[in-house]
Amino acid sequence: MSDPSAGVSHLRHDQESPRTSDAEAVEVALAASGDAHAFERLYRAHVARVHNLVRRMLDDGEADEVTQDVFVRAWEKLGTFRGEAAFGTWLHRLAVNVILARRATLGTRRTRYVDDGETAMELVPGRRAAPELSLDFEQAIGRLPAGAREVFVLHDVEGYRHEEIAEMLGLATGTSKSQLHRARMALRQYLER
Amino acid sequence: MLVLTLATALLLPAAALQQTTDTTVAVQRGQRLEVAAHSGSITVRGWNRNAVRIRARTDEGGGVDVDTRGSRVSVSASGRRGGPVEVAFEITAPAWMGVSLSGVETDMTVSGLAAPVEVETVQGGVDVDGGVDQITLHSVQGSVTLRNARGRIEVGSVNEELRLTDISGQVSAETVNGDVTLSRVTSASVAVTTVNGDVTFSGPIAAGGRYSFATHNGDVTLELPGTPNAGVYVSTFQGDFESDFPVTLTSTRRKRFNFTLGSGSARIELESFQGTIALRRAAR
Amino acid sequence: MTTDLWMYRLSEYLDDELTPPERAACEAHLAGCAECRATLDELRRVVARARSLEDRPPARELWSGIAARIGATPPQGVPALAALTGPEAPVVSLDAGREAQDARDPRAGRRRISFSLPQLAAAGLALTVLSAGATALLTRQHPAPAANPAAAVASGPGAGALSVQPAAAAPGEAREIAAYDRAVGDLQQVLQAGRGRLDPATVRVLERNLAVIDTAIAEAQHALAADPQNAYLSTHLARTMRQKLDLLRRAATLVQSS
Repeated sequence: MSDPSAGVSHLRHDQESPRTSDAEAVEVALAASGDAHAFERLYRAHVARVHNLVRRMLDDGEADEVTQDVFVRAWEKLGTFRGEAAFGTWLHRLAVNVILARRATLGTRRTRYVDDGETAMELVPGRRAAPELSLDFEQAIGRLPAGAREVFVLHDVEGYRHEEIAEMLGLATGTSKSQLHRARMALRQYLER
Repeated sequence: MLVLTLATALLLPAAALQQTTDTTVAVQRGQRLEVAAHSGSITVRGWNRNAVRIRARTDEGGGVDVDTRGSRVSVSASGRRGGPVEVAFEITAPAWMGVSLSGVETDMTVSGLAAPVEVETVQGGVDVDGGVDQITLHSVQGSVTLRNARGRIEVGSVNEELRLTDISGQVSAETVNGDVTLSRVTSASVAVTTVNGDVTFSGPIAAGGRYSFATHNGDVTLELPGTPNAGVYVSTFQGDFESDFPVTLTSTRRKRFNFTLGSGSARIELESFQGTIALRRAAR
Repeated sequence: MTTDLWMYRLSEYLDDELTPPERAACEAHLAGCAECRATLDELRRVVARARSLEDRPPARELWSGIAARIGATPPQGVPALAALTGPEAPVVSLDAGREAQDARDPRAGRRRISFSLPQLAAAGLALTVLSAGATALLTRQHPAPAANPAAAVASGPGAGALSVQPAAAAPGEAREIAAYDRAVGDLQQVLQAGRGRLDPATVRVLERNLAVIDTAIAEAQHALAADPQNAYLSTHLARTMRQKLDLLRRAATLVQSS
């Protein structure tokens, strides 16, 4: 990425993906032919990453169920995976789609990505946290308003580019950038000292 | 009538598809191209020669049949003893030549044609760039992407999304479990249906045009430039409605109502059972 | 808070998304603005913190739930396709004895389908448009005490109610509803018998999407039952029923041509 002083130099979401490793390619082929044991091995290898993505994009309470949805969907669509990217990348993208579909299915009012620029973004007040307890960084992400949260998780945590995020979320690229900035500005005070 | 069964040439193995064929047949204006492949891929590109070049990679023992009789050029592949075979077709055809592709576990890609395009597959994806007059694209388990096309357009999938960009003409798009995204569509007749998915549309609203967007589980979002002139009919059961345009409602019902933008010349129907319906102004 | 223009673009600067002239102008500004420099430093730390988040595995074991849904655990008895539109839906075959026999007969999956394509087309096209009368019929329906055996080819958890003739149905409307049920039932039988000829991934996708449509039908019916005069709901229900028929026709055509 562009900022050499950031300290962490690798992207979690590797866009220039190497092909699926040979061992995993075998598992994928077996699973695609209906072998549930092979699919379980794939599940074990990738569930943590998927679960964390779901948890950060939606809520803790739904993370288990939506994670299961992701893998069920992956099972159904294994036949269309051609191995042109790493399996993890394909699975990750599928997880994002399931998450976004879930967000819509809940009938949640779609966030209006209003870019007024003037107002500072407040985190959504928590239901249980007492005001004296400080939030850790992960919890603070969970309290961002939905739109900024999604963009922040996809961009800074998962490594997608704004063009990809804009396409996935149905936003203009400029909106994605401004939402990201507002999320980062709001999260500044929750950096652990 | 010309039937060619082509001898295959062995090539150094790269993957499973080890045998290649490469042949070119002359064609005349008015002929159509038909390609069938049960599994694998079909890629068709346009050029400006009056000839069709067929390159194919198949399993060992596979053969390619090219049959030109009358108005059709038919290309297919068969395996040993006539059974199914996996094949990767790369075909270059005249830009004026209409094509009809069919397959089951087959990805289809078409580009550079200014002619009718018809594609039918089950498990593969469909990606078409170009096409005029009549464009019909269907998959069951794959997504369908269409760009730079004009004419009577019908696209459909079952389990995946549909993406249409830079399109003009009449458009019909239907899927069950996928989003439908129409960008930069210039049309006076658009009908979009999905069950589980969002519908997004951006493009000008033509005078007297008819536009219908319906989903059960998903949002409907229209991005419209300028000041559209349309009667807008909104139906939702559990969803919300948002608009960047000023809306004056005369009825008190919140979930089914209509209003008029500008002269009200076109008709826009927006339906979602449980999602948000939104009208946005397109960004400059 | 100042109205510092560059403050709002610091993320873009950080992500290297400014044009060269913009970047130069931003750096010139940063040279003279301590507040922006401090903010930029904080943003860097936010990004670094985001990239260093660790993945914790889920607290609960999730595999068994997934296994059950993908059919990795043994099925409960009736083959999935027989309950094509919901686990509770009874598929009353006109030839129940033969169906049970076929389930045991290993050659059943390879038996040639006897429906011809024109017959399938006729079954499917019979109701490409539900008349306004039939739509009105749907708004008047009420649950019946017992299923009517003449129209017993049910097609979904809530759709059973459609099979029953409400008291004051006009003959034409009742015929349309019965025809719809028959068409759906015929097509389901084709799929059940021909399931083995389709790729398992395709079968899963078809089943899943029929379930999607059935859920939508059930939700619409439920809503309509509570608000029978709602014209949008009855139109929406009719549309969704038609989508189900379209999908079944598509699926049956796949079986025919495989």
